[in-house]
Amino acid sequence: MSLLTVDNLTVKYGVDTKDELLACHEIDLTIEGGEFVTIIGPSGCGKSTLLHTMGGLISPTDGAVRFDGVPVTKPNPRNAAFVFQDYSLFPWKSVEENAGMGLRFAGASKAEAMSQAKTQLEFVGLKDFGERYPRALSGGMQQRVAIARALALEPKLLLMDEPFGALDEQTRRNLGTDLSRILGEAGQAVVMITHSLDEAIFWADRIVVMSARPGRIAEEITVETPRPRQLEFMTTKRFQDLRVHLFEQLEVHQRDAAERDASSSAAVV
Amino acid sequence: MSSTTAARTEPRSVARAALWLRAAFVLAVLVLWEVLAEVGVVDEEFASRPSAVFQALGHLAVDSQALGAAGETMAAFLTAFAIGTGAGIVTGVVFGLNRLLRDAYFPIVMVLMVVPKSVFLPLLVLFFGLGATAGIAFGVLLAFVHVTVNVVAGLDLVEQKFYDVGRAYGARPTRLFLDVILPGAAPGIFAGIWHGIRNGFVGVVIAQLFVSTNGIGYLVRLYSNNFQIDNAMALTLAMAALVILTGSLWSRLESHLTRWRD
Ligand SMILES: Nc1ncnc2c1ncn2[C@@H]1O[C@H](COP(=O)(O)OP(=O)(O)OP(=O)(O)O)[C@@H](O)[C@H]1O
Ligand SMILES: [Mg+2]
Repeated sequence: MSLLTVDNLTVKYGVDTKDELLACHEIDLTIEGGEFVTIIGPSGCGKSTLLHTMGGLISPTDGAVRFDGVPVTKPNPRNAAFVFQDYSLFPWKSVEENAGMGLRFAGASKAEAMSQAKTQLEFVGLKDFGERYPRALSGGMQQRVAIARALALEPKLLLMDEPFGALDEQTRRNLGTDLSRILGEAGQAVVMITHSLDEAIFWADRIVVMSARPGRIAEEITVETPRPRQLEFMTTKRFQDLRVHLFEQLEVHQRDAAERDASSSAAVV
Repeated sequence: MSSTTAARTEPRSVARAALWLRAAFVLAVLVLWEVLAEVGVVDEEFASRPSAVFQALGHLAVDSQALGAAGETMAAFLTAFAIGTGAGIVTGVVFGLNRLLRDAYFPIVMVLMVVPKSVFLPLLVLFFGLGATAGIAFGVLLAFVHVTVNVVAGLDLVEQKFYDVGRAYGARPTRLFLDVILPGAAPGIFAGIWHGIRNGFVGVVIAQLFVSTNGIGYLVRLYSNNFQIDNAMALTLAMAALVILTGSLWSRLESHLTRWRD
């Protein structure tokens, strides 16, 4: 059985108000155990909405999300744990407390949370920073803490919403190669939203391309090269071909969105 | 302390220079005042003079009536502060967490905030008489209003993303409250407590100055009416010193408690 299935999912915001907005439309998607799936698509196409619904933060308007066959009705971090784009570390907690906070919230004792936090911080290469406060850490390090916080729950699935969006190119790449090792060892399935074509290809067992809003799945592409991959993978023909293809696809969807926006605003005028 | 802190706060030398400038100004005012009183430009009868004020301070420090009054004011202040601040924090937190109660009752607090609160003094005297209670009640009123407003503002400042993390990890309300809402709102709550100290004190002293028949405020009124200006000023000076001292102690405690901020 698949780890997670998204079945004919539709999500609307502001149902029955004049601001009703169709964010995701009839989406079918499955995630297998241990699989790394990246989601890419035009801005505002409903990627975050889809991810939040997969993790139980948003309820489907129609259709269903199932984890291990059981419908998801609210977040269960031991199944699927979130890593947010803006790190969302608590500035008033030390790095170690932050890393243990997910477990604490999920109901673990302080002792258990702290010992797991130590283990995970070491795992992401921050064992000497446990006593610091987040403000003393660089963006890349803060995101590692957020990942440690998620890993501490030993979830079967990690849901990451543009986890490296706020980082510079160099940091992204370093963190990326590091994390592909870390996540490879940890063995979680991962769903990661990204705006970077390179990331989308480099990380993925499978790339999900979404169309402009209302978000549908336009295409799924399997990347056969085994993980973890070396940076040289980025210089192969397969990588370059994929990159060109994704670039064209996104152009098309972006243009669709622009045209639709133009015609709808023309209609208003 | 980290180097970034040093870069952001003013250099030590600037702080020290500012202190010297301030001290020089105060000293200059005192000297001018003393000289003007000496040559008779300022009427000592009404304005006293610094040397007399300091002398009076020395006498009052061992005067049983003054010490008794100081004790009364202190007791009234502590009571008003405790009640007003406690009630204000609880009310502020409730308003911060419950939309309905906030929409229903917060406007009332805002009205109390903008009207000059002294209009309630006569009412409080009718209710509680001329004793210590009226002063305490006025201090409670002032502290409560200011604390509530600050605590509500503090809770509003807790960012949505922190609630999202709590929800994503299945936090129960008590955990969320203790680990996210309270520390997130701490700057506002601490500001509230400081307003509680200040307004509790102001309320008690104003009530004693104008209506009650006890405490330092009453004594200042008595001395003024009897043209014992040096005594009145000495008491005023002592109160000002006390407030300044409390303020600086509090801001130290506050920056210790929120040291994660800088
Ligand atoms: N809470 C909300 N209420 C109403 N509309 C929303 C809400 N959240 C998102 N939307 C709208 O739903 C659509 C999809 O938003 P979503 O955040 O899922 O897009 P996205 O693909 O993640 O975009 P981006 O790449 O910019 O992060 C957008 O038009 C957005 O304005
Ligand atoms: Mg998004």
